[in-house]
Amino acid sequence: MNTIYRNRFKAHLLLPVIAVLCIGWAGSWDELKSEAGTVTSVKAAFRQEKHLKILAKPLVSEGVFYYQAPRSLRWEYTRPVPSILLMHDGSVQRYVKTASGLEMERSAGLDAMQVVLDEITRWLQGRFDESEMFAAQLEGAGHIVLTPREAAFKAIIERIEINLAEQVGVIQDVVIFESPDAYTRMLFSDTDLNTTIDESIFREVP
Amino acid sequence: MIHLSRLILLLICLPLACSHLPDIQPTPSTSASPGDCPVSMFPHGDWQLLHAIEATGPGGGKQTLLGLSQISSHARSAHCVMMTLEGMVLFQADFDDGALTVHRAVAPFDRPGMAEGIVDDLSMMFFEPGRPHLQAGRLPNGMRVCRYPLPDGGTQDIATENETHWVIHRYDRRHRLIRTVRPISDQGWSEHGMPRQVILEAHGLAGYRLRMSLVEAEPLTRQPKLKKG
Repeated sequence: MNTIYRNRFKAHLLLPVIAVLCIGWAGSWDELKSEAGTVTSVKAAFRQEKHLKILAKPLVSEGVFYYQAPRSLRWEYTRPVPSILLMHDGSVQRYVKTASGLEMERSAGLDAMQVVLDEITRWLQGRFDESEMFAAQLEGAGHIVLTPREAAFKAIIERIEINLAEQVGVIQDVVIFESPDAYTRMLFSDTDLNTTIDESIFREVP
Repeated sequence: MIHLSRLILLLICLPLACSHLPDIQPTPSTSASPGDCPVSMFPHGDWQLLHAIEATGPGGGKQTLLGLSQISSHARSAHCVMMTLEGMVLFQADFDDGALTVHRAVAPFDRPGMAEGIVDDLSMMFFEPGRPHLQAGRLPNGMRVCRYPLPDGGTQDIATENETHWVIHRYDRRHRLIRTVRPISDQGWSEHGMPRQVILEAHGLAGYRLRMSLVEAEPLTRQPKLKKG
């Protein structure tokens, strides 16, 4: 696996997390595309539960995310390890809290995050069925199953299940299955759609 | 006139020729008693530990990962999981007193020797040496030290000033320093007596540095405190 491919591959590990940003409730792909197209911004809190066979109770992370169409994202963990991922105006930056405060990390994989933004843009338009990374199935009302198209990616993520809430544009939860013994559940709350988000949110860290 | 290539070769070989273990001055009180060798820096009993691991590579690039470890000092076994901050599992393996089973290894953790290296680093940080010490005494800087043989022909020194100031040095069979582990004392200690932050440095051309910040420490059995050395 060459370096470029490996970096793109690593960047795609974030895809399932970001895949949940902004999807409308829908009963068909056409409805989904129509409803998702009306969403221009999202702000929500999230709770991330990591389930592993060896764990008696899941590892819990919490945070908040912001999205502004067409290509701005802030994905922020507040606990247990505070960190902020910013994607805005063609740049990608990650900050992680250290003993001396928030420090910017420079790793090769971050450059490849632009690829992730392309996927996000596609999803925001409800075009799941056009994704290069995932084959999408709409199963029943508001239940989407994403399956990686590439075998190498499938070895890392078996599938992603998304349950949409009743309210258009709001996600109830997402489950990312890595293996029979490992999955991540993300639950969303306090979702605000189409509100004005100051641009500094996507450029600056506190 | 010395040819340039010979000069370079000489410079490369010089450190090898000069490598030697630090001298240990024997002291009457630290002659050979196992009790004189503190092991309080190693967790005793069964624990689940969650660390934020800031890894710095040879080129200076940094990446922070989550490291989950379930360790048993009695069985000298460990289950370790390395995850991205987003929770994606990159590496998962069992280590049971020498036997390594890798359950999952995603790039770059799938490189040859990477799994063994992780287990070696974990063992150095979490398990007291498996063999009796060969030498005990004081280093030239005055720290108490115990020197242990390693199965691969290397050597491990555990040097202590007191219960909170210690350093572990590991040397290869040619006596070159290859690893250093030490706590960052100004970051304090957990309620279980574990350092809140530990730094592991791998020395050499492909060296790296792991700054491990303790997020959670949970006893898996009734072993609430570290054994005092």
